[in-house]
Amino acid sequence: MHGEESIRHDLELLDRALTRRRLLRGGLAIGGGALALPLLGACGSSGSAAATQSSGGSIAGTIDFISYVAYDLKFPLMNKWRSSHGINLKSTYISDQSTVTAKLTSPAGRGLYNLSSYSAQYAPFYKKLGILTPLDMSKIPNYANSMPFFKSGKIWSEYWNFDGHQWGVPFTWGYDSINYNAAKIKPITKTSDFLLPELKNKFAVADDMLGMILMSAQSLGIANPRGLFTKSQLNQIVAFLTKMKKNARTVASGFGDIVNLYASGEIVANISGFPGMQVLVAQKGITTIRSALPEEGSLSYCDTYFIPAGGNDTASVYAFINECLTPPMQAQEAGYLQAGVTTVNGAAAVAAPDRVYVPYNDVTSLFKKAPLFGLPFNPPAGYASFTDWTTAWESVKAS
Amino acid sequence: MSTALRRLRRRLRRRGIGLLHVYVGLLLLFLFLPLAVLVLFSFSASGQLRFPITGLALRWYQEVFSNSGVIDGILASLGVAAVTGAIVATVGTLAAVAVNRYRFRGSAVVSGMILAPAALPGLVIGIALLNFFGDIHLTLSLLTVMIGHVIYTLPYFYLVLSARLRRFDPMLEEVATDMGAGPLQRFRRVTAPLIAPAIVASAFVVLALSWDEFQITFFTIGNQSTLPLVIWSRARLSIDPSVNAIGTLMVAGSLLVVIFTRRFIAESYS
Amino acid sequence: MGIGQGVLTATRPRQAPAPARRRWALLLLLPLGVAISLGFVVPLALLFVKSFETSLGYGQVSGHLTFSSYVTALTSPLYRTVAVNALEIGGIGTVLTLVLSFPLAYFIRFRLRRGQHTVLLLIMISLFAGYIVKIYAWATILGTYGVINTALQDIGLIRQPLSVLLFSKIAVLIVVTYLSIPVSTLILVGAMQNVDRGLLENARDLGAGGLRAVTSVLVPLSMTGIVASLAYGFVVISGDYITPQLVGGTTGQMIGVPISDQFLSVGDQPLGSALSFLMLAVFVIVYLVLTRLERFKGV
Repeated sequence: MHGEESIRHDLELLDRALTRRRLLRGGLAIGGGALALPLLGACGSSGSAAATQSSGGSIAGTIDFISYVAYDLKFPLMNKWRSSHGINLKSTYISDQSTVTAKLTSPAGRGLYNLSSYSAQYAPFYKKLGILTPLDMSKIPNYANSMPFFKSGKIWSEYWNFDGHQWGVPFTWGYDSINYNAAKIKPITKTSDFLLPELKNKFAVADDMLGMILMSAQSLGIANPRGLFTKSQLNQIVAFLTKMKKNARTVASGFGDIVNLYASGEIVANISGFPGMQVLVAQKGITTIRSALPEEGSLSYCDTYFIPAGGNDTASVYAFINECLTPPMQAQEAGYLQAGVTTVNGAAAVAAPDRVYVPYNDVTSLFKKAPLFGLPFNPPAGYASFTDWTTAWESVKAS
Repeated sequence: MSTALRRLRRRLRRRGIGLLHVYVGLLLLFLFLPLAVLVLFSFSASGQLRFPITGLALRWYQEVFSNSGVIDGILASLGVAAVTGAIVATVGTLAAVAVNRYRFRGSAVVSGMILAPAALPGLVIGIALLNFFGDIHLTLSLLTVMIGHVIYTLPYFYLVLSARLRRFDPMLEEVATDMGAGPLQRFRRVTAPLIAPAIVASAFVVLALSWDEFQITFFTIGNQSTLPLVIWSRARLSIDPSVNAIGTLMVAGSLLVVIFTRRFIAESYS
Repeated sequence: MGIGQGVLTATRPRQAPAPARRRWALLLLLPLGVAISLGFVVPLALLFVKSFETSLGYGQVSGHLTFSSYVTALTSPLYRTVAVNALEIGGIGTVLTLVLSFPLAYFIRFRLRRGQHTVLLLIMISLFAGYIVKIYAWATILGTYGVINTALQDIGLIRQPLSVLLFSKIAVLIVVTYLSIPVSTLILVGAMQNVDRGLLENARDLGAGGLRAVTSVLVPLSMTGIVASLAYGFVVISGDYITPQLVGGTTGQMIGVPISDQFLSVGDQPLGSALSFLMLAVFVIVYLVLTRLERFKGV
């Protein structure tokens, strides 16, 4: 698109569905610091007055975290911040958002965790399940630095601030892609390529229900912003995915597994993937992994911190969330999570090598190709519900 | 080809090594090969899990020991194993003694009930417990893990202890009774010292089983991990020799337990 | 009355009067009763009830009782493949385990004089070395560039790596068999302890060759152990939900995986419970069939 546009302007255009199933599992935690980001690229600090503010009072305590690997931000800068404030971190890692759902809805899980994350469009569903708590935004003053998309507008009022309260703080976003080892095969450009005999037994399918269903829908041409499919369309998707799964070497339950599979030479490609896979596998010595947005289109995601109902020690959690929205931390997060950041001054601070994960300068066309899809938790009659999607994906895996 | 084999066989036969010996050797090799590979790679200097190994180093152990998650996992596993062992040893000994010493109707049923959990896969025990804890609103923690371990190991403790108790000659106790000892005295002076080694040996089996348990723990774990769970989540991140290092530590732990058990096995046979 | 008299009377088994005996026994059994009821019977009963509830998804259930979960479990094509896989791998795996362990057990019991304890110790070490650790060790050994493939290629037996060794039913079979051999061996050795060495020697004296002596004498006499090994192996192998996930790939999944999914993520717990109890029903059938084998038990 253009050259250097003001970041704020670009991201104001972030108004398509930001739905994205993100399987950010493995590998990021290890050697995240190896990326050695310069602390502040600071190419022009963007406007918003509020710089880093910290909440007063005693914030020492323990964060009991449950979500994807790396979302607990265990890079050196944050680790130092935590230890200097007496905040311990205990993490439980999951490989799928549904595990979070299961753990938090079970009465046996209540009170175990005080920090988790949801993919943005899960918000109304989680609210209905009663596992969100209304946030005291006075404890997260840095939220004011968020890009307008993340603190105002239609999406904001659907996924983050509704019923008179704020329920979650978006902190990272990106899109699903295809990954392949450029040293071993020629570039893969389409989702449908994974059905071809040339790739038989050579790639891994991620156990990522949303990513796989929506990428297939894109490939089949039936994707729509609200994520509504008729039963027969869902069957089409299942048939497509079953063919793909049978063509695959294995269904990997986590991105860490996929990294291992690349490293041990078992696979030369994976779907669904993400741009950061290149860095993850590079840490294992293979620098030839590439990422591509499929021609047929893909999906975007935005993950959001929330405090599970029943969580204790929330002072520490609030302080943590607030801190992760400061420019130095956001700059680190861009590289650590290999995704986009959500604050204006944070985005300005992101170092050049880490700007590759999301097209800060070309956001509009990204969201044309990779929308943030709505999820059918309450579909109109005749359309498949989220539960149907889950059954569909289980049937693909069991086929 | 076959004549060479026949000649080899004859030569081995002369040394008393028959086909069976070869087979047993190969099978034991098969049993230990993966463990050997595991331990070997934990000392690999490079991060690759492939042959050839370029150099030896302790760096993975350093990394593992400096990781608080691993240390916490070890402590959690030790704690759970210890408490499980204590509970199972108490409950199981009382039960084994009851069934062994007293003939009463329904002892077969009791035996059956004690052994029943061993007839189920860990999966079913795990989900039953998870469901149960949800129903009674008991938050998942190391306590719930321990409950699962108690149920899982109780049958094995009972089996091993019963087998040993059956070998004991009741005559010694009869003598004590004839000499006027009351039941409590009899227990303290005669029974307890006799069966103590057997109890300890069986308890060590419990420790080993609990240390290693994964399939039930997977469902009953809260926000703390036991060591096998630490390995699981680590391996999700990345399979590098640090996982091997933790695995080697697990093997070492089991080794220690088995060695201690052996001492008591030997003693109780005397 | 001296010691001698005491010994004489001791040869006549004497027991405490009946009511006191039973009272003691019941008292001793009380803790066990509590433990087993609370930790085992009640949870299983609750799970059974759960299998009749109506699922609202995501772990929620309504109070409405129905058979629909069982109907789905039995008729849905979703679970057929993985159920068949579980039966297949369970059956083949337990038989394979038995066949591989039997000679080892025989060797330990009848051929080793002094080394028995050492070898048993070795087996126990391999048993307790860490379930998850062993599976991952195998995943690296069976890989395309793992130990087996590189070794076979180096020797020249194969030219391309065997990709079927990992992420397949064969991989699952290898690993589960490996995991079961130690326990099977211990069970068989235990059963063989009661077989008098002399009996085997007699059989040989009577002209039976080594192998025939074993099959016609040892197998019937250790039938309890054989049945126990087969039953235990089948249960443990077909209920394994971790091994298929790690090494089963796209074709080697077993029923345990969707069952655990229902409780850990997907949330149709009635369905998961129904599948579990159907699995237990199959185990009962297998037990009944296997105990028929005990008819072949020798004196």
